Amino acid sequence: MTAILEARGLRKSFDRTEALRGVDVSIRRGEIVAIMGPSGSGKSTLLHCLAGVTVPDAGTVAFNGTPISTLDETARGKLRLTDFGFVFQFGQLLPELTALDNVAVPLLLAGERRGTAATRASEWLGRLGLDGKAQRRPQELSGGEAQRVAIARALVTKPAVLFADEPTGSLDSLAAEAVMRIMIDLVREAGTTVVVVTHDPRTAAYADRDIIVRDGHVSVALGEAA
Amino acid sequence: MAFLIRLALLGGRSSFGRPLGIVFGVALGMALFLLMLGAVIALDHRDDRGAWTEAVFGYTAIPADEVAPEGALLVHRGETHAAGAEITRLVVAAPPGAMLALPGIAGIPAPGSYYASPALQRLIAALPPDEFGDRFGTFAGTIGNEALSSPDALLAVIGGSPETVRALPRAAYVAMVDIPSSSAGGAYQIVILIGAIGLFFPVGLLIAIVTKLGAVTRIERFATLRLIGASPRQIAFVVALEAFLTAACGAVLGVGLAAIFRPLAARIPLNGGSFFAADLAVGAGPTLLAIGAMVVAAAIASAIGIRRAGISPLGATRIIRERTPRWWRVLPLLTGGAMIWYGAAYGAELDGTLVIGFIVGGFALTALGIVVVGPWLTFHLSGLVARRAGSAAGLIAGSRIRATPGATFRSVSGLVIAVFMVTVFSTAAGGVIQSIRVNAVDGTLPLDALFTYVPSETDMAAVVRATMAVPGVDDVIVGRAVDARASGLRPGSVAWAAPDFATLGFSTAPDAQYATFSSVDYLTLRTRSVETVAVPESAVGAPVAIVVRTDGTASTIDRARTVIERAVGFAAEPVTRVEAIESGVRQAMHELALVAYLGAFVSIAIAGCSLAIATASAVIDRRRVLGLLRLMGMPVSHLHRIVGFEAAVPLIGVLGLSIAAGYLVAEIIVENLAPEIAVGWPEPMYFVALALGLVLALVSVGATIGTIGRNTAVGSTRFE
Repeated sequence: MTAILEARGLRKSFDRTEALRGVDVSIRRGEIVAIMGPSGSGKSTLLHCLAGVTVPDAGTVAFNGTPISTLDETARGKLRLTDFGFVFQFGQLLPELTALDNVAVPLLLAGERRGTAATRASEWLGRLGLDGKAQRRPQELSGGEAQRVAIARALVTKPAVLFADEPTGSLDSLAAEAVMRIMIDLVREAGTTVVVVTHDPRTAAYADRDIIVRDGHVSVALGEAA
Repeated sequence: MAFLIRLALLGGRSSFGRPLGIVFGVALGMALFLLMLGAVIALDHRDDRGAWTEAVFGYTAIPADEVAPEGALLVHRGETHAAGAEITRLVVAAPPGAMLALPGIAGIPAPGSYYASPALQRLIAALPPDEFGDRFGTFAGTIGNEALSSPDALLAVIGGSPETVRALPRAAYVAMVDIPSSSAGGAYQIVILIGAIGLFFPVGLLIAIVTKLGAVTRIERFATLRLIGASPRQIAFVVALEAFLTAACGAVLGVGLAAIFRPLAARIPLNGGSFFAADLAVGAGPTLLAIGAMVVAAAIASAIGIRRAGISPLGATRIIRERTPRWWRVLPLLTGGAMIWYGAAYGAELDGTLVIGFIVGGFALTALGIVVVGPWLTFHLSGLVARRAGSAAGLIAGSRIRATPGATFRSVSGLVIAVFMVTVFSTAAGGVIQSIRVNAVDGTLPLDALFTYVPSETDMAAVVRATMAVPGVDDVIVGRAVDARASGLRPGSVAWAAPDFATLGFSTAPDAQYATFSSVDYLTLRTRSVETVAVPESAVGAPVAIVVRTDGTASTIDRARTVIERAVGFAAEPVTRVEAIESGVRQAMHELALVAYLGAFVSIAIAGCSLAIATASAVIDRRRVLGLLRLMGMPVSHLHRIVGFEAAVPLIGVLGLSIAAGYLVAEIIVENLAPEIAVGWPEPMYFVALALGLVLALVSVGATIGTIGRNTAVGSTRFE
């Protein structure tokens, strides 16, 4: 299988703190990869560099063989809109919007008509078991429900890669289990590549492969070779 | 507590910007307040200084045909015009034993000489000699400022002999000039005072919003204070103290600004003229009181602002969910409108006080009603926008406004009131100005004609000859006295020969050799003509009036006026219909309008600043959410659109509401109280003031929007 994401020699510093000190990572299409490591090890920085959120100080990131770390913010924004999806610890839903509208936003950004966007958003809420919650606002949802809305929002544009940063970090173990199972089922079905940053071994257990980051280096790659 | 204060106030780049915002707002508010308070006081100073010129009408004046009081002067007060401006002329004579001195001049001018105010001297110097000529004689000196109500005062004190002055109509003996003023500026004072007090509200709002912004930017600092045990009250005290101190700096700066801008503000004409800069000075007592009121208001506004921010010990601003505005919010507005309509429509059947109560009370209730109904309207309007939006920007902005209609509306509520009031005034004033515009109507004096009464002993043939010789004069006709007893007509009627009625503005000549008018309002009628009444030839007497038809140019009219005044003397006061009717009322309306437009401009500008700060606060408050949208691939231009939309919808929406409500209220009042006046479009200046204020507000918001890119940069926003 070919690499969908490939990073070579990534370096990134924040002031005097070196977050990444020459990281090489290769992620294949359809693969689910967990990035693990202690707090402050550089996990999130690595995810941000791979997703084109942060530009590395040195090294390259290529998506489907095309370097993205040299693109300007507008081009990287377009790439994130069309090819990447994101899920974070607290969902980061827009508090004023209903669950349906939250899911529809990426489609509207991509130029879909409001009606079509609402229909597709509704379908995705249904697939995530949120049929009756479409008109609820984030503060009217439980943590698990809000996180499922965030997953629907991330997947509604059918991204090639889903980036998840501690997606179950704010949930109890039962809700975390449910969220991970439904997310993995959906990405397996769609063949979406997943890069998930987590502390939690139970979350990492859903991955095909673990990448351990320590002190800015990839110290161990468990599973298949990195 | 000292530790709390140090921890809350120190550190961070924003610790400079926030106090600067308060200092700026308070300084601006204080400067405007002091200038307006100065104007209220100055109107009294001005009335007092100029009161002496009206002594001839005062209760101490004795008619000139009675016995002269000891030491009195003989005075005649009249008006003349030049270049469209009205000039007050006091013709004075000192009979034997006269002791009274007039203010502002060295002595009583000798017959044939005159003192003039500086503004009049400038006017005379600007006119060609034959347009003004030596209407007043030889220049003797300048009238000092201490005797002038305003730097614009057009005043001449002309010397005459006792005999000539005594012969002038309405001449009187004046024994004292230190008389109380008539306080004609009372209405202006009330309007300005209300405006000055009203300034506290937008400034207070500005401070509350700046405080909220400060709370948002210092959220972690305040959360730490809460976490270590500080109560919300203690946090509010710290922030109020900060506002108190910064507002004090702003207030002092405002006093300085007021002093700097005083000469400029003094040039704004009010109640007939501009001010001397010194008139606008406010004493130490009122200034200290104003500073005290402003800093206390600032402290209270900031304490309210920080409580609204809802700081919790967990480091996040609580989401204070607003209640959905309910339908009852329309009731005060409807009640206010109904009160105005009832007071105006049934005014004739009600007691006068009750009518004023209904209209003024209804007006106040309508203004309050607009503020009360604002969140309800904002809620429904934004709901409509959110439902209909075809873009992410429209959906997000509409939903955001719908979730916080009260807070959104609050940032522009000061503007609503200002625009409402100015619209009511401007629409009504526009109608009044239109109604007093003098038009050429059959049966009224033509617009190019000069009219004056003349003493019956005047050599009319010489006057007619001299006037006809003026280039541009087309015709001169003479009106004659009517013997009231012989004719049975009203005393004071003037008879005109039938062929002259075409010159007088009638399309048909009366069926008699001489005729007069059915109304004494011939000169002042604007849209309604008078009818003619035949005068028996036997009742027609000596010439007493003259009408001069000209080519209508200002220079011909002034030249003809100069010739008549020189030939007839100060008993003649030739005026055109425009000068007789329009000048006073139009000038008053224009001046009030100018104050209103300035008020609108300032209010919109302050509201614009508040809106800009509220927008900045909203951006910082949601930087993670907006950053997330950028992370999802939303271009910064879309974010600009969201935030711009959130600012523009309430701004433009409430402007529409205020303008519509203001127009409607003006329509109800004017249509019912003065049905002859047609309510039309407000004056162009109204739209200029609105547009300027709106542009300034949108530019302020635009500048804030420019910070979105920096505040939401995906690389600097933490999402995990």
